[in-house]
Amino acid sequence: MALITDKTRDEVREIVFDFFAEECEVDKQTIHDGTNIIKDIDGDSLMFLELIEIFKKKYNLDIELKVIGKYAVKHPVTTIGQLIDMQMLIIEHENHLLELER
Amino acid sequence: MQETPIIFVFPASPNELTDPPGKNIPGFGDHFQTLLNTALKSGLTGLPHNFFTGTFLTQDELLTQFISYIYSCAVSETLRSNNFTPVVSAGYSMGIYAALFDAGSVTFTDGIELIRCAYHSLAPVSRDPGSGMITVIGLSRDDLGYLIKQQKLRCRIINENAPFSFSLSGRSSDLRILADTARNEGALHVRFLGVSLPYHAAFAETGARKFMEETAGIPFVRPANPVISLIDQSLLTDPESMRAETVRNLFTPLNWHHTMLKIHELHPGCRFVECGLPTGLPKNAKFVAGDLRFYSFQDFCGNELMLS
Repeated sequence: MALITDKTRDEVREIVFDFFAEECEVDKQTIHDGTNIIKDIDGDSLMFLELIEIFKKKYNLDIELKVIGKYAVKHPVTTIGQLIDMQMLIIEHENHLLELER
Repeated sequence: MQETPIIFVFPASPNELTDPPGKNIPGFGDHFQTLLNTALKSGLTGLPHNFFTGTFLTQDELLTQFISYIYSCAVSETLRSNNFTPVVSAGYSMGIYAALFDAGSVTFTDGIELIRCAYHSLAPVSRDPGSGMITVIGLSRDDLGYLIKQQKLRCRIINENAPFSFSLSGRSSDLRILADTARNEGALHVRFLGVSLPYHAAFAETGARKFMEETAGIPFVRPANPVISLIDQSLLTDPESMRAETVRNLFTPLNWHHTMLKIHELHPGCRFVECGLPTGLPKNAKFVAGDLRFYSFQDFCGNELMLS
């Protein structure tokens, strides 16, 4: 269980915004928490996966993809803000993510 | 100037494509048009006249394979005419025919004939009750194997693209069941591919035998460079092994993940180039350990080539 600080949150936010600006070839300034990843900037689930890999490496996370997948089935992500929130939970809880359901 | 080893990778067909890239790459359009004309003269019909404009939808499976093949061969000619030669090449799935042409093992028109024979040999054994392919990302091989066994599904893992990224072939109705259960078990991405045949699965073995008989008269010659097998990662360097590979490629599972790692082990620091219509191979490589350098044809030309 990692301790989430304001610095972590800012880092995650920065990485997510930079990532989608580059991958979707859009101006970073146009992305905000309410941006719909698929409808507004033409993102896809493969990008979500790529982002997970980036965070796994950066924070040395111990989490199986299927744990994230099972969580995402019940908590689907559509906007940038929701995705950042989920990434924060992933970093904080890693393989214990599903225990939040109990 | 070729500074580091280059690997030509010939992809399978894309599912859908808008505005095919390449028209602005010097020389490519001419190579493509010349090969297209050759294909038309060989009796191929239904090819689009306005290929580089508008939306190119891949409704016809066989036609899509022909177009992908022609495009890949034009990429090969463009790169080779600019003195770029691969140390090894690879044909991903049905991209094997373009890899054979690129290595000089078969002629362009014989490549078309191999594609036609493969499709028509497999089709009769696959139409009833309907077959197809899907990709699943996020589950392990064991997870998928368990789901298939538990539900007695007529489908098989036929390629490992990267860790936790697999392609499966089999009966369409069973693939739909697998797709649903895989999502519930935590798969993050499930996609149906635009094919109606169970490529690379044992279900296609009867068709593959027919293909072997029907293509026995097509001459294969020694390739100019080794072509790596996606089945067992061996280097194919003689006509007999190339011919045998076209047969077993139809009904034997592949392992693209291991193939990339093997190539990288043989040629550290090499650059992979997706020599064909974009199918996402460079993006897939991001999930493989070792920081592989994998470029689309478009990006490779933009970054590395000074085409005349």
